[in-house]
Formats: sequence, C-alpha cells, structure tokens
Amino acid sequence: MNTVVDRQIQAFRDQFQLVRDEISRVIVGNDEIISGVMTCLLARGHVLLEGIPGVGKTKLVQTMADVLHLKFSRIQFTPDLMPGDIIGTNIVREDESGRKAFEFQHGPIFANMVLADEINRATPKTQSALLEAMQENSVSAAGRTHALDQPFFVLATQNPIEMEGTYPLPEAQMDRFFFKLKLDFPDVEQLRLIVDRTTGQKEPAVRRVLRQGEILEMRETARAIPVARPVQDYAIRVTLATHPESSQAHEMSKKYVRFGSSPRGTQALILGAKVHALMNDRVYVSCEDVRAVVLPALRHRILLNFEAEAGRIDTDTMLARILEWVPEPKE
Amino acid sequence: MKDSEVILSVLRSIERRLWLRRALREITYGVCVVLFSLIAFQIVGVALSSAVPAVGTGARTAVVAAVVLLGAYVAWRALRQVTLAQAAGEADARARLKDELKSAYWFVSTPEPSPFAQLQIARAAATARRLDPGAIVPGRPPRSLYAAAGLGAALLLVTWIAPRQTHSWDGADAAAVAAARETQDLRALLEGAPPDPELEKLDRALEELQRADATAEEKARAAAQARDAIEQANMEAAAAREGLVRLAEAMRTNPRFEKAAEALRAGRNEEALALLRQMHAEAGDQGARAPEKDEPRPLSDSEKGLDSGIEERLAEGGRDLGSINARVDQDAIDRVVNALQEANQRLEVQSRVSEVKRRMQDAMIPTSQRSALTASQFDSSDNAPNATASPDSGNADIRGGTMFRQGAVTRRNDDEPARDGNMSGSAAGDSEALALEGAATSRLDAQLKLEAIQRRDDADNDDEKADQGWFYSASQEQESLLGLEDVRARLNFDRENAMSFERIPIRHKQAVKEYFLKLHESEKK
Repeated sequence: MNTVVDRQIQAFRDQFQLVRDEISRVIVGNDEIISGVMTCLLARGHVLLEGIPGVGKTKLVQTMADVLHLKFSRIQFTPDLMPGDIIGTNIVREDESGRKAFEFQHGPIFANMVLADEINRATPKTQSALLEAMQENSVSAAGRTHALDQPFFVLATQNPIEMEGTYPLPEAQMDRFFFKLKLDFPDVEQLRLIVDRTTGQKEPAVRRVLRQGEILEMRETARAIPVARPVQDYAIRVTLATHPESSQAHEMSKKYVRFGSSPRGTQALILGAKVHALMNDRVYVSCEDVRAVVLPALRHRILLNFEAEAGRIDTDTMLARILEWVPEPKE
Repeated sequence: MKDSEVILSVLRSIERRLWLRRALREITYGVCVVLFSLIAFQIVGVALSSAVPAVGTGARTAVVAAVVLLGAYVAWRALRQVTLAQAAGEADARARLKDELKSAYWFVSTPEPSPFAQLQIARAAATARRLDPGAIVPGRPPRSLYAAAGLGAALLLVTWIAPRQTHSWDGADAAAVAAARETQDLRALLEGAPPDPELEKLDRALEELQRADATAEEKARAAAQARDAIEQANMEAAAAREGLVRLAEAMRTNPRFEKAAEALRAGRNEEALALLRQMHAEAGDQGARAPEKDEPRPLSDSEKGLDSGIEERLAEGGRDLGSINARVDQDAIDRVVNALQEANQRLEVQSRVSEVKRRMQDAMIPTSQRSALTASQFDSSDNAPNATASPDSGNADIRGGTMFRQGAVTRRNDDEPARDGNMSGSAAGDSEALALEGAATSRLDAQLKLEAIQRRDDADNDDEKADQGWFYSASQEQESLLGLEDVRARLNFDRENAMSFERIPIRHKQAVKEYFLKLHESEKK
C-alpha cells in the first residue's frame, strides 16, 4: 500500500513541479506566487492577486490557463458590469417549429478557470454575483441552480493604488478567497529577463501539461494528507491570536484588530499546509507548513481598526509578530 | 519490530533521559535558590540580629520553613513524568525533524486507517532508527549545576569573611536561663538561715530576679532591693561587731569575765557565749531561766531599732559586767547572753549575705566576658563591673576591668605551658595568639594587617635615617566588624546588665562605707 501512496505522492510532486516549471518559462520570478496559485487550485480555493499595474497578474493567469487543460474565461470588471454578465441570463429562443422557450445562456463564470480582472472596479452587487459560485461551486439563475464544472477556480486581480472609482471588496467576499497573493515589483535581474523574453521576435510558448482529471486527482491526494492534533492546535492558536476578544489574542490584535480571521482562515491554513507538505515530500503536516501559508491565508481575513491604519500597521506585520509569539506545541 | 514499536522505543529512551536531566536541573536549581537564600540570610542576618535580636529565632524558623517548602516544590517538579509526546516534541526540536516524530506518535497513539498515516509512521520509524538519543539529550550536567557550585563557593566565602557571631541567635535566651539558674543557687544559700527580715527581703528580690518573664526594669528594681537588703544586713553586722568590740573592752575591766572578753576579742563568739552561760549557771539562781543554746529566735522590733540597737545593748551589757564592784546578777548576764546570741545571728546573716553578694558579683563577670564591648567601653566608672580574674575580685579597684579580653596575645616562653586565663599581656603583642573564644576566633593575621610605619624619634634625623617599624593595626574590615559587634553587644549587654550590682562607683565605695560606720559612732556619742 505504501508503494501506491508513494507513487501518488511522487506523481503529485512531479506534476506540481511540471506546472511550475512551465509557467516559469513565461513568468519571471514570482515562484512563491506560482506555488500559491497552484496551492489554491489544488486546495479547491480561489485566489486574489494584488499588485500594481504591469507586474504580470493577468499574464500569470493567462499562462496558467495555457498550461492546464482547462476551460478558461476572462471577465474584465468594470463599473457597469452586471451580475447577469457574469452568471448568464435567460433568453427567448425560437426553434425550427416556431415554438419559443426560455433558454439559459451561460455566462463566463461557467468555466474551469475564471479570471476576474480588476475585480474591485465592479459594483458590490456585481462582485457578490461571484459569492455563490466561489463558495458553493454552483450558480442560481432564474429559479434554477446550475452546478459548475470542476475544477472551478477563480483568479481575481486588483490594483491596490487606484482607489478612485473602485469598490473595495466586502469582507464576506474577501473571505471567500483562499489566498491573497501580493505581486512585488521585479528586481533588476528579473526586469532584464522580462525584457529579454518579451521584446524579441518570438515570445516563449508553453505546453499544456496537466489535464482536468489529473488536477482532480491531485486535489484528492492533497486532501488525504493527515494532520496530527498538535499541529492542528497550532493552526487554531494562530487563528485565535488574531481575535482581539480571545484569551489567546496577541497584544497587537487587541490593539489594532477589529475582527479576526474567520474559521475559513483555519481551514485555509490546514489545506494550504497540506499542499505545502506534499510539495516538500512529506506525508504529514508540520508547523512549518502552517507557518508557510499563514500570510497568504490570513492577511485578507483580518479587519484592522482605525488606529492600525493611522499607525500604518498592516496585517503582514501583525501576522509576523503573531508567528514569533505563538509557540510550537511541545507535545 | 514493528514501526510503531521502534518509534515508541526511541521515544521512551529520550523520555528517560529528559526526565533525568530535568530532575537534575530542578534539583540543582533548588539548591541554587537555597544557597542564594543562605548567602542572603548570612548577610542580612547580621544586620537583623543587631537591629532586632529577638527576631533571630523567628527568622531562622522562617528560613527553614521556606527551605522545606522549596524542597517539596522542587521534588514535585523533579518527579513529574515526561510524556512520550513531550519526548517526541523535544526530539523534533533538537534534531530539526519538522514535527515528524510528534506527528508519527500522534498517528501511533490514535490509529488512523489512512494509508498516508501508515506511510508517515514507516518514514518516522526509519528516522527513529537513525536517531541517537544520547545526541538528542546529551548527558552533560545542567548549567544550574555550575551555578550551584559557584553559589556554594560564594557561601563558603561569605561564611568565612562574615563576622564571627559571638552571640548566637539564642544567646539572649541562654543568658536568661543561666541567670535564672544562678539566682536559684543564690536562694538556696539563704535556706536554713536564721529568720531575718533582711534575708526575707533579699529572698523576695532574688525570686523576682529568677522570674523568667520579668522585664529589665523589674529586674533592675529587684536588684536594687537586693542591694538594699545586703547593705542593711552589712550595716547591722557592722553595728554588731562594734558592739562586740565595746563589750569585750568593758568586760576586760572585770577579772571574772577576762577569759570571755579575750574570746570575744579573738572573734570566738561561741566560746565567749559558752563561758557566759557557765557563769550564769554558777550564779546560783537555779530558778532563773537560762536561754537555750543555739536556739535562733526572731528579732523583735525593739531589738532591731536604732534606739535599742544591738550595738547599744551590747555596750550596756558590757558596762554592767565590767563594773568590778557591782553585783553581777543573773539578769545582767542573761541580757548579755541574749545580746551576744543576737549578734551571732546578725553575723551569720551577714556571712550568708556576703556569700550571696559575692556570687552575684561573680555572676556579673560573665556578663562582661560574654559581651563584645571592648575595654574602653567599660570605662564608665558608674557601673564598671569588676571583671578581673583576681581571687579577690570584689576589692580590685581596676577601672574597666576587662584587661584579659585584650590579652588575647602575649609574649610567652614556649616551654611554659599555656593555660587559659593567664594570658594577660600586651594588646599590641607580637607573639602567638591563644584563642580565648575557642575555634571561632580568627587568626591574628586574618584580623589585623601588618603595616610599616616611619618613626622619627629625632626631628633632626633625615628621612633616610628614619627608623621603620612594623606594626599590626586593625584592617578596615576589622574596624567595621568591631563597630558592628559594638552595636550588637550594647543591646545584649544592657539586657544582661539589668542585674548589675555596682551602682555605687568603686572609688566612692570606701567613703560610703566609712560614712555609715561613722554614723553609728556619732550615735554612740
């Protein structure tokens, strides 16, 4: 049995590495971002990519869609975008016999990979159209519920500096995202590579390396990784440390946090840690795996108060302090 | 061996080592705390004892109780079990195994059907086989052991340089018990004595002194009463002696009583009394009642009063018997015999009182000997105890009287056997020290420092020709210790000196005595 499991784990790692290598042929640097996006895909989550314009958010998603054998659709969010434009709508169709009937016209959300580009430019009403899809993997329209094809994976991007004419995502919407990944500006070496790759006669092309079924298998493998209770307790303690009203809250949480992470945060920690463990050839989750995913899993689930904003305290700083503060379980 | 057994076996080995190490660490930590407390107690205790001497026993009890409590706490901490989960956690942390053993132990203890868990157990077992428990938990002693050794050395050092405690914490209590025992012995001396009001007064005063819960003021008051009783008895005895002298002088003029007078002059009062009784019997009046021999009887007030004092009655009796031509009747002899008998009682009382006084004075000597006060601190002649080792110490007019305390060193010949108590000599002596206070006395070279002093006897001499001598002088530490001892000793001395006997300055004693003797002489005139 161990041989089967070994092969399963080896296949997971190989495929994961294959996708990462293939994406890296187009995307310069950002290995952690690529791993994070893959983790979200394999943990059945959705990812929010945040970065200034031009750092390759959309390109990353497009490249990923090229690498995976998945149905891909892109939605450019604008203020006048309506929920029906995303979900779809009923239209009256006349058949050959002249009979007229309503027929549901599937929106772009009916895809395996959905790129919600500049998601904060749409109104909250339109943004909330994604809520059901992201959480339930189904869409309700005209009194009917339509199941979404698996894997269903939403990749949203947003620009953190342009606030005019944008609608910040509501907390409930933010909480639906498994990870929030921040794309930093590339350094000199990375910029040189970007220029080399994108200004020549021929841009690098990628192959489709992972099929839909393989992705589902990888998802099952990741879910099968067992977690020992002490490690689970560690993830819970980290989550509780973000809650100002908790007895295990960190001092900074008591001072700067309005609302701490939701239970989805703990789920994200454990699931993300499972994928991280598999990527590191482990069949168990360690506290190190939990720590590796704390920032992307929790940074968007903590709501800071005015004092924190006035003091320019961000959630990343706070989470780093919490990680230093929460001790690893001794037994 | 199954994978799970391999993991458990390694974890048990680590667990034992962890337990041993933790127990050793806790014990040495406890020892550190105890040693530190003892050092602090040693340092603070000196100040405490000088400030509040009575707190000594309480403080020691508190320290003992704290040590016992600490020991129990340390034992509880040391005997706590180390769980296998803790051992797994320690092994993961020390061998950087990223929670491998911890997770494996969890999967072993809560079996899961997951093939991934089985795979993890197998992998962890392989890791456990490679682990060396000795490398994970080395058998080296804990750091607290070194700390304990250092503190132990510090305690030894502090104990060595700390001032010698000439008084233990219980010194005051022991002195009180000894004083009570001394007083009991003094009261025993008064048993069987002829009935006498002064003796009763003295006995009551001694009883008050013997009372354990008597305050210093009460003891001082009782001591004053005892002194008054003794002085009164002495004065009455002196008056009796004067009367006896005058009786003897008067009886010498009558040849019939010449032998009795000689006996009185020689101090053989009993012989004189026997002669007088014989003459009384020979006087022929068989019906006259002769006083019974050696039958003490209480003195009446008229017999004790100054108006009809013993001295006067003896003198009158002497005049009656001294007249050669007068008829010597039995009544006159009877009166003289009674007066003589009474005088003997007074002398007997004085004898006992003198013994009590001597013993009380002797009891005062240890007070000064036990005291850490230096001789210069006794130079108040108002209450300087006679503390010389002289056999006739009561009359030794030595102000300060504690020379032997300074006589710790003296020059002596090696062939002369050293005896405690005879080592009086130069306080600045340069010869071998004899420890008067036993093993607790520091060596001289530990107390004093040797320093060179330029001596220029002649002002004209050049500096080069100046004579250089070496002297021992008190080191700064010794001066500090002496100052500290002085403060402590004053408290103890004041308490023990409540029974101090010498309220009259020594240089005034003779004048006071003469005043009272002459007072009686003037009365006679």
